[in-house]
Order: sequence, then structure tokens, then C-alpha cells
Amino acid sequence: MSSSLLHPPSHLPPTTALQLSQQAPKIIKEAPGAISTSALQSLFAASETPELWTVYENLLLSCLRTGDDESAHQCLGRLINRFGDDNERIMALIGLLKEADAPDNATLEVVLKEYETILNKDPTNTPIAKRRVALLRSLGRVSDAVVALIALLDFSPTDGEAWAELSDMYFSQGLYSQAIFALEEVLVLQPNAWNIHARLGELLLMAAKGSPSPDASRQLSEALKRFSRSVELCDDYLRGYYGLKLITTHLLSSPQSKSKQSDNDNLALPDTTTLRQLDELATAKLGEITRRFSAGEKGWQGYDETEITAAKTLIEKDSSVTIR
Amino acid sequence: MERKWDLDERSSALVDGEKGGLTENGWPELLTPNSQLPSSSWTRGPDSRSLDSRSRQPLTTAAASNHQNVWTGSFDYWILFPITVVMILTGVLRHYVTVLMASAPKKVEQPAVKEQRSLIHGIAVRSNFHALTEPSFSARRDALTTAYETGAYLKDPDRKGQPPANPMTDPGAMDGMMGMMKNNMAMIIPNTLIMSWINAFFSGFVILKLPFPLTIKFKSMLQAGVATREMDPRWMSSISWYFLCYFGLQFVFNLLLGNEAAASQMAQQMQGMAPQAPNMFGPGVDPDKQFQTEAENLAVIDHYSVLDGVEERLLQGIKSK
Repeated sequence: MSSSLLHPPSHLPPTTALQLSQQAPKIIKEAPGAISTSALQSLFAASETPELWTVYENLLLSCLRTGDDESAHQCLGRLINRFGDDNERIMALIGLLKEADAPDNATLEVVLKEYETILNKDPTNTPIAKRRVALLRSLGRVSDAVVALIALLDFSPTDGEAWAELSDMYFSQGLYSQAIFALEEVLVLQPNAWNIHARLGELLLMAAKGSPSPDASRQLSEALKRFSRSVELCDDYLRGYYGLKLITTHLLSSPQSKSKQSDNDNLALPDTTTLRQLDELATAKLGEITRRFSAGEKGWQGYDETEITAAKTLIEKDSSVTIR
Repeated sequence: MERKWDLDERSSALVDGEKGGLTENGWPELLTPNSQLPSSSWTRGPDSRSLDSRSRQPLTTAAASNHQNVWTGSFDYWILFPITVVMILTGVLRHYVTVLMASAPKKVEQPAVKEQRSLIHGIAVRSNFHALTEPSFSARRDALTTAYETGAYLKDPDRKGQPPANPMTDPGAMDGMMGMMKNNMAMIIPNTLIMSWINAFFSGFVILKLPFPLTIKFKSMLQAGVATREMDPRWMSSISWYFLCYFGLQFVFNLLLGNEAAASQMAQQMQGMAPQAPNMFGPGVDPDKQFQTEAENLAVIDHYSVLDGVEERLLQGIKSK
């Protein structure tokens, strides 16, 4: 259980987060509250490890998710005790807690003002800048959030997290090409992130389906390639296969005109045989994943329940079409 | 070689002797019961211990072979322990002094951050271009090359084309140098003091006898400051003990101060020895030149994409399994 405390808790499913935060009082009681800097005491007490503070930080986030504000405040108190309240990361955590405590939007606006004061003093304070973006977004001011995030990315274009967030915000606004651009930036920084490849494929697919633009077939072809790259990088990536299945079905059911993309060889759609083979591959793999997950096999339990259900539905729909 | 050693030994023995016998060291009663010896004769307490050993050979040509030291007490502990304790305490003290003197890392201004990260971004695009499709790569290449060549990312665009500022006049660079100076001072001053303290009080003392035999080669290591040719290399002089402590107390400090103790003199020494890593953003580097180089690097890339033929690769890979 403590191993999952060492990972960022945003990836934890809600049940695990709940479990963690239920244990929070116990963990807080057991873990040392402060590490003595005295040479003599450090001989006898447990030595300080970076893991301890990671645990506190993650516990704080889990507690906030489940509404256990008291434990969260305790965690924060210990973190402040150790690192001081002028540490950038701690400042962001303090702000996070203030946001969580705020009863209404007016209080949130006050917190927002505080962020802006901090940023006026030190514009390079990345954690606070990110908190400000997140707060703006949760207040519903997405365009302001986008502006703030672009300002952050302007001086720090190597921040993959920020690019991913920007992509998500553009996507929520329906600006597909901007979202795709931002996600490509993430790939520039992390070229082998298979989830980003698959996500980019999803965006391309949605863009192509959403607007019948002249380069829709190019986008479809690239989406196909992105999904293929994703599952090439990770053999059992459910979303990759799901997308592959979706797009091959789409392409097989509505053949694209081949004449247009003759000018760009690299992004030409593959022929129907390849598409069929890819479709078979995706179906087989999706079937295997859902089967093994449902059977409760060891090593196949890491998938998200809802994603498995979606994959099942997709396969069933596909097979019913075939039977008919 | 032999001859030279002999000469060296003699001269150092003479120098040692002339510097003053034990009478000037403040231990006259204990060490030289027969202090009527001429001060030029090289007589030291622990040396006479080796006289007590079986060999009973004269120490040096200048040493009084008739001099039999009757002192048999455990006087050497009174050198061994002070040196060790003082060295440990100094190490701990130095740790806290370094902690106190350490200046907080200087805030980097936003334009400087932008300059550095834009360059890193360009490098990322250059090395990971294969993750992009051809159109999106050329769009990025064009944008980055233009911005690099016009100096849009520079910290102060006005200084474009001028030679880099002298690092000695740059206050930011001076801070870094001062930090280095402070650290070096924290190393040098205590070591010099201890060394001179040992030299003044305990020079020439033989304080330990190792419980195992050693070859003659170890003489220079273990008997620094005691220039006797015939003494068994198992005997260890005070200065040698100091050096042994200097190099060997690292683990004691780790235990006392935690693993990342600033008293890690060994680490600092290693750092000093290792060739300095090329400093990408250090003082004296012209960012404009770096940008121009990077723009050129980007321009010469022959683009290909991992997405080319990925379906075939995937199907092939599945079949071969």
C-alpha cells in the first residue's frame, strides 16, 4: 500500500485513493513528524529519506480528494515544517489547500489574487503558475487559463505536463488542430510515450470525423499510424488497440478516395488487405485483454474497468455486424 | 636512488634536529629524560621505542645510539586520540560551517530561463524529430530556425552579435565563484591549521605499531616526517596518522551527519579532479552562437518519421512472434 503512496495519486482509481486517505491518520501517527538536524539525534533516530516527504505530499492529495481536510492540513503542516512556506512546491500545496477550503467562488477569486501577487514577484514560479491555470480552468474561465498557460509555455517550452494540459484545454474548446499541435510538443519531449501516441490518434480521429475538411483522409491515415505506433511501443495497451479497431472499422466501412493523397507518399492510407489484417489484430488483442481481465488472470488486472467495458461493447457491436 | 634517499634523510634529520629538540616542544620531562643531549642530535621519544625493539639499531647517523629512552608509558595514545578527535570535530564543524555559508541558489530571471529552455526545446526537436510527421516537423523547424536566427529567444536581444560579457564583471558569475571560494576556504583553512598544529606539537612522533608486517615501500606512506632508514615500516608517524584520518574519516562523517554530509571532502576532491563538464549555460558562453549552431543543426536534418510503414512493422512483429 505504501508503494502506491510513492506515486503521484492522480493516477490512482478512486477506491485506492479512498483507502489511502482512510489510513491517513494512522500513517501520520506512525511516520516521524519532523527530522532532527542535530548530529547526535540523527545517530539514534531514523534517517531522513526523500520517500517520507513524497508520502506526505501524496497523502495530502489523496486526503483532499476524499475530503479529509484535517489530515491534509496535518500533512501540509509537516511539509511546511520541513521545507518552509517559501518553497515553490509547498506554496502550490498551500494554495491547493486554500482552494479546497474555499466555500464559494468569491474566496477562490481571493486565492487567485494571491497567486497573481506571487507571480508578479517571481514569474518563474512554475508550480504556482500551474495552480493558477488550474484554478482559472475550474472557475470556468478556460480562455484565461489558455492565455496563462501559453505565457508559461512561452518561457518554458520544455514542460510536457503543461503542453498536455494545453492540448486538453484546446480539445475541450473544440480546437482540434491546436490540441494536436500541443500534443505533438509532448511527443517531441517524450517520443516514446505510447499513451500520448494513442491520445494523438484519438484527437486526429475525432478531428477527421468532426469536420469533413479536405485533409480528413490525411488525418485518418495519421491517426491509424499513431495507434499502430502506440501498440508497437506497448504490446497490451488497451486504448491503442481500441483506437486501432475504431479507425480500421471506420476506414473499411467508408473507403476513402485514393486520388487526393497521391502527393504525399508517407501519409498514404494502406491498402485494404493491411487494414483488414490490422482490424483482425486489434479484434484479437481486444478479445484477449477483455477475456483475461474478466477471468481475473494475474498480470492482466491493471486495466480500467470502464475501458474494458467499452472494449467489450465495441467487440460485440463489431461481431453483430459481421453476423448480420 | 639509495644515495639520494640517504642524503635526504640526513638533511631532513638535521633540519628536524635544528628546528629544535623536544625541549622546545613542551614535552621535555616526559620525552627526554637525558635532555643534556645536544639539540642537534635527533632524539625523539617514540624512536627510542624502536630501540627497545629487538633490532636495537641506531636510528640515523646523527642519532645518538647510546641514547636509551626509558620511557615506556602509553604516551602515544595522547597523540593518537587528540589527532583523531580533533579531526572528527573539525569535520563536523566544517559541515555546519558549509551549511551556514551556503548561499541559496540564485533565482534565474525569466528571460534567462526562456533562453535556456528554448535552446533545450530546439535540441529536443532535433533529436526527437522522428516522432513527428513531415508537415508538423517542417512547421516547427521553420519557426524555430527563424526565431533562433533573429534572436527572439535571447535574454537581451540588444546584445546580439556582441562578444560575451567578461565573466569577471558579471555579478551572477561572481556569486558562483565566491561560493566555490568559500567551499575551498572551508577545506583549506582547517586542514592547514591542523597540519601545522600537528607539525608543531607532534612532528616526528611514532605513535602506532601496525599488527601486521609491511614491505619497505610503505615507509614513505606511514612514516612521513620521520626520516629513519632502518625503522620497521610497521611503525606509523603522527603526520601519517593525520593523513590516514583525513582520507579515512569519510564514513565516520557519514554516520554522524547523514549520508549527504557537506563534509564529504572526498567528493569535493573527486569533483576537483574530474574534468569539468562542458557548461552549457555558464558564464562566457555566447547564447546567440549556440542558437545559430542549433538553427544550422535543425536545418540539415533529413526528416524521416517512425510513422512511416508502422503498420507493416506492426504486422510483421506480430507474425514473427
